[in-house]
Amino acid sequence: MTKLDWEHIKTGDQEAYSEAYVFYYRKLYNYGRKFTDNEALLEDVIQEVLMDLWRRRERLSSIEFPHTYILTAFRYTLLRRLKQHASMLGPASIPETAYEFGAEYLLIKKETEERLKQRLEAALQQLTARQREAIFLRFYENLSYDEVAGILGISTKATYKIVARALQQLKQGMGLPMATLLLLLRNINC
Amino acid sequence: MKRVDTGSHDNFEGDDLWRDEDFQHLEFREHWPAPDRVSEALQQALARIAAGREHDEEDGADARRVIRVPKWMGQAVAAAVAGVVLIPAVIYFTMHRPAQHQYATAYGTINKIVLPDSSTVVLNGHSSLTYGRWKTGESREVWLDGEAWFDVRQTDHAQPFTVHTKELNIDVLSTAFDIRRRRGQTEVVLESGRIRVTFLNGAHAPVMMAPGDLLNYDPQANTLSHKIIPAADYTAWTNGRLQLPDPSVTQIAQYLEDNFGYKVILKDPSIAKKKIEGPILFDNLDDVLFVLSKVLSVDISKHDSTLIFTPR
Repeated sequence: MTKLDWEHIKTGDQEAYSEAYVFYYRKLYNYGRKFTDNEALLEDVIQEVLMDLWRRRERLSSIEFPHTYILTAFRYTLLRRLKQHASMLGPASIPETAYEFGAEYLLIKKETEERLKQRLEAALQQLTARQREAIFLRFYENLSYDEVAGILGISTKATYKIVARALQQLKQGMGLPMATLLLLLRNINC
Repeated sequence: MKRVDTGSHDNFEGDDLWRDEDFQHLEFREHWPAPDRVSEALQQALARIAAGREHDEEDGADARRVIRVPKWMGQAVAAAVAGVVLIPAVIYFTMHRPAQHQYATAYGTINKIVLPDSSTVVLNGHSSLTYGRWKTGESREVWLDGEAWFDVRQTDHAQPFTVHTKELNIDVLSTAFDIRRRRGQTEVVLESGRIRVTFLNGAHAPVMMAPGDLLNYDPQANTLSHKIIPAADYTAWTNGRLQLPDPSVTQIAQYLEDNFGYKVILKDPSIAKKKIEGPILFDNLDDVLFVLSKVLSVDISKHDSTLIFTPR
């Protein structure tokens, strides 16, 4: 992972800033793209957040973890703008909950055997947007549970619960083949 | 098995589970911006910093802004005036083309947009128009929400021009027409030329329209009506004057709400059904309110974005 030079950015080093710019542009695009396919709006928000980073560079020392700060600020700004955009087009046009972490971004690998694929597919359908996002931040972005909690605006304990629940649901979904499950259920009723 | 250090929750299975064989079948889909987009954005940012403009309000930040002019236009002019040093910036800016063009109007604002093929679109208040990059020889497509009047040029290659709205697609060759989609209902009025309207849900067969036709589609009630009206009246708003033929107070209230964002409250509900004889000209909102107050014998007061009609 690229080691970014926060110290130099703080002192106004544009080269260091440029490196951070490119790094975060890509990262924020990948993240934000799970909420919307409106590229124009997404890029607008990214540029706004990155310009803001430059504006606040001197105060970076008071930000303990610039990395998490940027992701949090981005998430907040993006969702706020998406809501503004939706309400501008009319109150009935897009429901409030439309802007959440999309379903199609946690996928099953192609090589997966058909039966497992079906079970995984069914299990994935059960996940909530919150769970998907928490899993993305923890296992793709490799953030700690504390950091994920910070970004989502919830407690660390709640984050553990969300991730644990999600993974257990997935595991359960994959674990027992349907036939066995039905057999078990039938036996219970006898 | 190696345990992941999860801090206070030593027995947390989550991370272990993720390493489970079955979970290896899951992956995250990745989306990356085009590399030239990233470097373009970086150059723009650095140029802004160099010009000392990093503290200016970001163009798109305010959702209630009027039309968004492509950023490179203003900056290219400024750079040309500034001298030799900034010439690379000028070259950069004139080559910059945003991937997607998005125009939105605030309430009460009307704006004219010229499309890459020189067709013009006049966007009424509280409406939005979006289109991507157009390539010569390919069909021209735009997405509309709200109301706009279109004057579509016929291109050398006779490329079709399509307007996408939430429920309908309107295919055009060369023509002038108005599309009004408000409160779930869509009205299309054709001034000149010929257009074909197709229904995305297949509920109705495509309709060919001729000049003077008004098509009204209500997806909720699933009604479709097709009649003839004086098209010039319907599109008079593009010249800053609205003509609503014999409108009821309710229709006026709806128009005020849809295009100007004013919520109308009638202290006496019986006013709602009153009809005003003759067209109402919306040259100036205050003039309209003056006329209304006289004709209906009401006092109209404005509070923020609310208009209250009180009988005298």
